[in-house]
Amino acid sequence: MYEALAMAGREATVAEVVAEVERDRIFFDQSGGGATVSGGEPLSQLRFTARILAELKTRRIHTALDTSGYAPWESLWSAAGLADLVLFDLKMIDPKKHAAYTGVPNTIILSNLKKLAETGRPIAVRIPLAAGVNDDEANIRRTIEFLKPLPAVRRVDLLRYHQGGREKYKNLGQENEFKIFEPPAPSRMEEIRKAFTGAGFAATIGG
Amino acid sequence: MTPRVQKLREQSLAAVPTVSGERAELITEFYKSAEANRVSPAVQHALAFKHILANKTIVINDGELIVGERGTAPKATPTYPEVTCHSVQDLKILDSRPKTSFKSDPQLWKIYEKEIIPFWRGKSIRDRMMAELPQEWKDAYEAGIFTEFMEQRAPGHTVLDDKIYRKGMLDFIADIDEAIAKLDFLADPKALDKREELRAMRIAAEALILFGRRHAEMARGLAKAEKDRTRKRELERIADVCEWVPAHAPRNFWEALQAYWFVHLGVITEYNTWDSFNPGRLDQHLNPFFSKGLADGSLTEDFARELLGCFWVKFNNQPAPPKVGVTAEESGTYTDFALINVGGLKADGSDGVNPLSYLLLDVIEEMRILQPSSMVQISAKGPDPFLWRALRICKTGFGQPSIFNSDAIVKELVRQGKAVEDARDGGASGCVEAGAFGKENYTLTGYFNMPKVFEVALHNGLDPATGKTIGLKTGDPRTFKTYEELFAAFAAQLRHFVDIKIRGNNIIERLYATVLPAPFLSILIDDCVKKGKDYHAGGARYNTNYIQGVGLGSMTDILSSFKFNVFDKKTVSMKKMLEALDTDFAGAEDLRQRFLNKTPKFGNDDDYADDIMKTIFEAYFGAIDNRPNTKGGKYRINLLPTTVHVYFGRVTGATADGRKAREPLSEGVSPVQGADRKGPTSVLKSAGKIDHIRTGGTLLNQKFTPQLLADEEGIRNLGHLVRSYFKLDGHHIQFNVVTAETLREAQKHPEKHRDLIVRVAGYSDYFVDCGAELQDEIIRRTEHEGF
Repeated sequence: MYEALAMAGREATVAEVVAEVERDRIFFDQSGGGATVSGGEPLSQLRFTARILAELKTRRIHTALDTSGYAPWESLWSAAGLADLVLFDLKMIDPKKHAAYTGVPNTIILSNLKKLAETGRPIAVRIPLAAGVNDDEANIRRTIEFLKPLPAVRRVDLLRYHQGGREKYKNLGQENEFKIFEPPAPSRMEEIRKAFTGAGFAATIGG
Repeated sequence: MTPRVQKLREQSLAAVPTVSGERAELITEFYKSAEANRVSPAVQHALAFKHILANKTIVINDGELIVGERGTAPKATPTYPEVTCHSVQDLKILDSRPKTSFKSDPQLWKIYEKEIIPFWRGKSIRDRMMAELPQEWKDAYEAGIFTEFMEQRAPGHTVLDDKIYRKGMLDFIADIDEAIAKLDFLADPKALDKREELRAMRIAAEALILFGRRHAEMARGLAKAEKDRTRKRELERIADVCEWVPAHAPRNFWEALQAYWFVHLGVITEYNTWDSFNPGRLDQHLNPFFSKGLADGSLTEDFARELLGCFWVKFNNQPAPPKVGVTAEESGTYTDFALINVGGLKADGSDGVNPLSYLLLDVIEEMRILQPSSMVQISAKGPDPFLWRALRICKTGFGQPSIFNSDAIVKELVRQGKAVEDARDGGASGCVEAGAFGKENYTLTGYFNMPKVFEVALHNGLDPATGKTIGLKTGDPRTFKTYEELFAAFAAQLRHFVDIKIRGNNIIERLYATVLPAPFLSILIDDCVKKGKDYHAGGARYNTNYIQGVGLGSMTDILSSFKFNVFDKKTVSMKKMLEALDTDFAGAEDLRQRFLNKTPKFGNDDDYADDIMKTIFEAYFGAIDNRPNTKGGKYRINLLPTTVHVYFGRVTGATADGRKAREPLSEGVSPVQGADRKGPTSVLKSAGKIDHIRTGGTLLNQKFTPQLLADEEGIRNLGHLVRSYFKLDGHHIQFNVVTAETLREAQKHPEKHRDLIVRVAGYSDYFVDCGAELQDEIIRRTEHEGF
């Protein structure tokens, strides 16, 4: 009777979010963890994101910004410049394919990643992999070629596609909008990981 | 696992618990003798002990290397009519009840009817207790306000240190003789009493030597008849071992284990002590023998492992002595709570983890049996790989080992006034109880039902279950203007019932001290010999009494509901609240749902609820801590339930946290089942707000699904969780790693899940041996899906 219809998410002030993070400080101190601002896309709430990062910085809590990188450089930098680590999504290198799957070209994403790397800020590049979408040799090779010259990028997280979002779409009544892909075979994941480690990256499957 | 250990383990698992009448017959025979009536109670009981060990059946099971059974066969369990004399009806109930049954036959019933019952009726401690205890005590006991540990089992709750690995019984006899020689009959008016106690201890030590020799003789006889040459040599070796120990200090790993086992059998034959008995810090005690054996080539790691496997089986062959009535309810299990401590600190404060610690963990994982139970002590100095190794065993889902915070244990014991070295040599036993091993009598006296006390406060001193007035007239809550008035009424009732409990304890403890001394246990615990004083009378160096608080989580949520709904938000009147509770929420389901889902609760790192928890803790602590007991020691608190939260729930009406009448209460310091909605870190934060250091032990249950711990990263994260909780001074945490689905499946098809072991409270048990209510409750305990 209660909680039958639940509101997913809630409105919160910066102070409330920070207080929530503070509650888990003892665990961060122990594990070397911290807070990750993620989304959706946290840069779409730029001021809020930046204020949370700034506030946590003054409290010496380690922060990570999880972003698609699709934003004007100034916006990205105003948040990423405050985070201890940027988790930067990189789906594919081919601009046309990128546009076809995500609806936007990746020109600004790639240029942002380059610029961010030049600042020396620690970056973990996160590559979600779906079979037949971006797990092909060409994309992997081009990704490695793109990342190799970037000085700050050493860590690559390879994320095997999962259908975790399906329930969310369903709850929103938009199940038809949810596109189903197939995850790459575990053996293919391992090949890709080896390709990255062979190129000198610290690559792991999972994040 | 070697074929030998595998076979012994299977035999132990398959053995059916029975009642063995042998001890009851022997002790009755002795007490009827002329000799028994010529001597002091201490000497009398020592002679009775000797009579039992001199005449009981000696058992050497096929293939075993460590020998000795308490009964006439594995899981044949004696009775202790001098403590509690079972009626024939009791024996029949034990025989036929579906859970934790003990089989017996009409022949035993006849012996009981003709010999045992006529002699012990009115003489057993239980009968004497019931004759001496006042009506107010009986009313509170019957209402389910508290339980009484010493009603069917003798005080035990103690653990051995390293003394038996340094000294044999002959050395103890020399110490006793020296103490007798030193007695000053001029200056010491108690000299005669002391001499009697010391003489009794001497007799008890001789009795154990005799018991060892009887095993040696039997092994020699068996060796002679044995055709198999390997087994023949083994039996000869067993005979050599039993001729040397327990008379002398052990010289090697094998003798050390056998020496302990004889001592263990001595303690659990002398009385049916609570929490059996326990070698305690086994890796510390055995490591010198282990490393010496490896160094001089007389021992291999494989053989050490095999001996330990044989040793483990011996514990599993001794179920907790049969319990009936409320005592069976509060501790409904075959487990007898021997808790092997692994890891921790050395007396000098350095890290105690050694190579044998890891080997013991291998044995624990491999044996996978109920008894002995096991735990690891994790200190801030302890290595992470040791913690991870232990957690990987937890992951296999049989509830062992449980995880303890050495640093918290030391702080707790030191706060109670113990020397820091004694504290570091200590650990936890039973479920979670902290103690100075080898030097302390820490008696758990009974569980205390906080929500029931509050129910009595809500009814102005009346127990609504019976209509009897059993508490104080603290006022009609409908006249209370503030939350503080309500809390004051609760605190006053709490104090009232604690007083009743302590008045009762003062009678019971002195009955044990004067009627049933424990001369054998007294040899083992410092400073009974030095003081010439019995263990039951205050002979130990430290003497602590506990009253174990139950339902802290429930009580917090109950008061939170009153404060939040009645006083702060004023959404419910006191009148309506009381009506809803008295009618078990009949027609008030909306109210119940609001209490369940829209009221602050313990376990969510919410200060509204957690601050209330602290006030309850203070009231309970204030009513008990530092009050004197009869043994020259003090009362302390701890917070643990065994299985009593189910029984306590059954006697308690509906509560304001939304719990329906008769449902179980929260257990240990865990949140109410399902009330924690914010994940395990919030549970640990809430539990971390308890001042563990001012207790003698708290128990926290966490349940995880196996998926969460699938890989090493999961294990490391769990390790971080444990370390974080311990930084908050958390005393103990244990993990149930099993899916609710599996448990439901086991409930439907118990026959297919005989081996499913789950963590219940401070111990593990076979899921199918748990009562249906307890099974449901285990399933309900929050199943955490992620960190």
